[in-house]
Amino acid sequence: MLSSGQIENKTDEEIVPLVLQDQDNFLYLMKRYEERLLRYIRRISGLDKEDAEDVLQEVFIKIYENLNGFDTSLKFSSWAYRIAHNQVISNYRKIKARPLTVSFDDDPFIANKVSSSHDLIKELDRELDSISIKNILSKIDVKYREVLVLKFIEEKDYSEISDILQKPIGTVGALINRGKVQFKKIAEQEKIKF
Amino acid sequence: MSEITNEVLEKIKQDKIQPRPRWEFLMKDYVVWSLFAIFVVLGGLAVSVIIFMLTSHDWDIYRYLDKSFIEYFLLSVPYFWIILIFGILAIAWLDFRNTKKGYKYDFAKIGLINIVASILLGVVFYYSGVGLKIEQVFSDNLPFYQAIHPMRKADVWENPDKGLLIGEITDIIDDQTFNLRDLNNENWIVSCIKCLWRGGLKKEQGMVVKVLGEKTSEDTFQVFDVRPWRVDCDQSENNLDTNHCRSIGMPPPPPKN
Repeated sequence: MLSSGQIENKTDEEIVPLVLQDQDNFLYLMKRYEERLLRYIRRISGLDKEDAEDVLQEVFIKIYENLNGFDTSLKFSSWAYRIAHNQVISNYRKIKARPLTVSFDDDPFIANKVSSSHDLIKELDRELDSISIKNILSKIDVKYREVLVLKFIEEKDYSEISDILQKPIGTVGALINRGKVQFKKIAEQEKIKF
Repeated sequence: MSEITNEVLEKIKQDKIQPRPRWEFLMKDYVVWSLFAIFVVLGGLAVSVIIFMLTSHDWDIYRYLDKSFIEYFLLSVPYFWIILIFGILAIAWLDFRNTKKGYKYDFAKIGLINIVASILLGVVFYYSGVGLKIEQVFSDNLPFYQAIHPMRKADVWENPDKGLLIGEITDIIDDQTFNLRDLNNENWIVSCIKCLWRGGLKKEQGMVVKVLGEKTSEDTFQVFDVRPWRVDCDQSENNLDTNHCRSIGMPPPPPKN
């Protein structure tokens, strides 16, 4: 196993062959993605933290098992998000009885995305906006919620979203646009202004 | 080390989980692409049969059958192959979506690539005679195939009252007259003054032909258009000896006295 100093400057894509040589190196990849993927799984699945962690474990194992199939023309992060997305869907199919509603409670990340100001009034506005966004996202269709989360919260570009969801870029654009329309519509219905 | 990452690494070690070998992924890629190639070729074959059926069809006989062109056209459309082509295209599309980059292309693009490739291959297959051969195999061996293409059946031409006749040339009397035995084993004296022999056809005994004309009596027929029963049965005597040039359900000739 390499030392963390040796691996720190390496890209994810450079670490992949090192994991194939020594499975202990997988720890570095997992550390890099643990928080991001857990957050993503929770946002799109509506699972509570415990269940989401179970899914994340399965995602990591899938990633490890499929490392030889990693398409080097993709970003590793897109590939990892794709596996997480597929695992959430597969998990959702297994427990279909459970309604797919999303809770964004204890998700400070959304609040941080709304604004980075430290001004008190702005801070209050930020909190309110954050609650509103969570509220709207929880009501939006799953197919739109996922692209909106990837685009505006995970800050992925169209090409990455296309690689994650395995949809043509044009379709991604259309989904984002329709998602924005639905977001606006729900915001109006809820009388929320940004 | 966080709990999750630790647990995952432990599980990997404990369960001796190994990354799947690279060849499995490569194999999957090869299989998916090979299947796509096979479907494009199958599409090409189906297109070649459609081109053959459309170009070899007797589009001008609807008037003799008391049908409108639309009615005759609808009875002549090669439905079997068109349905087959759509099926092949759909499977090819699903298969293409399973290639590594397949998801990047939308339905229209993949469909268009597929259709263009199938048409190009279809033209090549048509000119190399593959379309004709496939059509013959199907039409000679599958009864249901003939049933869904009623206007390609020989008995459409067994209609002397309407000016259509099919049969074997049994005797050449002179330059303008020959005897023809039809599907009902009836003999006709066919006069062919200034008539058109299609496809460079030269009349020969044993040749199966379709003729357009007019019934002039119970056993005489005035003809102005002669066509080979099948498009590849028109050139040489060797062709006429092949089974398919005679396989139109002709009854055996009556015993000679």
